[in-house]
Amino acid sequence: MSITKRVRLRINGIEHELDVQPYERLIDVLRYRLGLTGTKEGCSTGDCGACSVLMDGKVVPSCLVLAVSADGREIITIEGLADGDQLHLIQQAFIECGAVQCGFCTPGMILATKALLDENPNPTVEEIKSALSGNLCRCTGYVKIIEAVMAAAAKLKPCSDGVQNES
Amino acid sequence: MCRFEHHAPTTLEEVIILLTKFGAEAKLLAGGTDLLVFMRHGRLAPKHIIELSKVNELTRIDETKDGFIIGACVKLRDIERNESIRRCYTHIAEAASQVGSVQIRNLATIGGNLCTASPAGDMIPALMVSDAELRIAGTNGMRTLKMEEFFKGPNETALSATEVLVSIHLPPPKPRTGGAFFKLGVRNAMDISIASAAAKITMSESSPEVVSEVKVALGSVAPTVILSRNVERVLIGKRISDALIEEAARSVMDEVKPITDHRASEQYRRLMASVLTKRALKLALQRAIGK
Repeated sequence: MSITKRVRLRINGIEHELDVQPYERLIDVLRYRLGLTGTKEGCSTGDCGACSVLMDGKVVPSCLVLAVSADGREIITIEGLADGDQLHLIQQAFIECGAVQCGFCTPGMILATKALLDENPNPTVEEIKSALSGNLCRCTGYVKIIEAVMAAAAKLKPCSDGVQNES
Repeated sequence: MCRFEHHAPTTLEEVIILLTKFGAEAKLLAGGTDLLVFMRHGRLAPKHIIELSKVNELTRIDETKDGFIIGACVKLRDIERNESIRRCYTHIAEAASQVGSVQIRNLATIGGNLCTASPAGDMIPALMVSDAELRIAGTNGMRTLKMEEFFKGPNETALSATEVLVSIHLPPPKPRTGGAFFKLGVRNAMDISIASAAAKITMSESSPEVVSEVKVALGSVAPTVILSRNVERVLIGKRISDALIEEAARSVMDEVKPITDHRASEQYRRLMASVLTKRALKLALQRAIGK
């Protein structure tokens, strides 16, 4: 039997201390240890993007991160975006633009979008396509998703009085 | 996933001790975007995984008067976005930017791409044309290999079971030099290439239209990435022209040994090797003469 290791993970602002098996992946910890099932397992090989989370601000496939490797890191899952009942602007934009059908790709898409807009608040369509190229959607054909990202970017722009919306 | 023990050494010495102790039962973990996928598919089942992320010297990028030193565990996303590499070695940053997706590039490492040694490894052609040298640590100390010496076959490198790739060294950029990298895939992202080509060209200072140095490396068209000798023979010492670039591009078709698989046929790959060579040479030339 493998020796477990103690890891400390800060997930959506909350500190967790867990004893994990070496072969447990970050996605396993999130879904099965912590019940955070917003992160989806689509392919298990890092190709589909459904398992995307933010790790130290960078969007990564949680199916390819060992839990032991995530020790000491800050993780944001889709559950961490809303502020209580108040949805994040990106979530609102996805709903308003009709970018959600079955919803399976949506958490990963939204987190990849957050990573994009955090770094590039005013992306072109080409930049959006590139930033989301690691996220597959079998329902929407991507058009509404790209519109949602553009709408979210527009909402995140500073208002004319210089006050920026919360991101 | 198979069961394994996990080790997280903090120095190169510890890495080598662990490799020596566990031998063929151990695999090194850098970004995990190849290793963990191979393990998922049952292609590899190591009993011990030696994670490299805590060995600090493997994640440095240093720019010195003797050129760049890129640690083997530097992430491809960091190479893609590094201002100095984008300026001095544009084709290397370009290659990094075309691997997988943002998610993959936030984990994947330059050393991992080299050590997986896929014939389609996207970092390999760009580094090969840049006269990159590889620093390797083992039980007998350090050694250096040229890129051409590192790849022995598909997924096979010159590393012994007790060695670890430490860093990739690039010589300082030269004037009147430009590089380019092109990758052809079924998709524009997240794809193993059908064919790829990197070119680096240096134009003479004294005779501005004469090619002083040129290298072209081709991926996915042979058991390993290959350097084209024909291109050098056609172009070096000659006055550059569109016709000469065409001739150089055609000449690679005799050197490649592509296969037919579910992505493309042998014939298509052979033709694309030539098309990508032409595009890479043209863009490298534009960058060399500063247009």
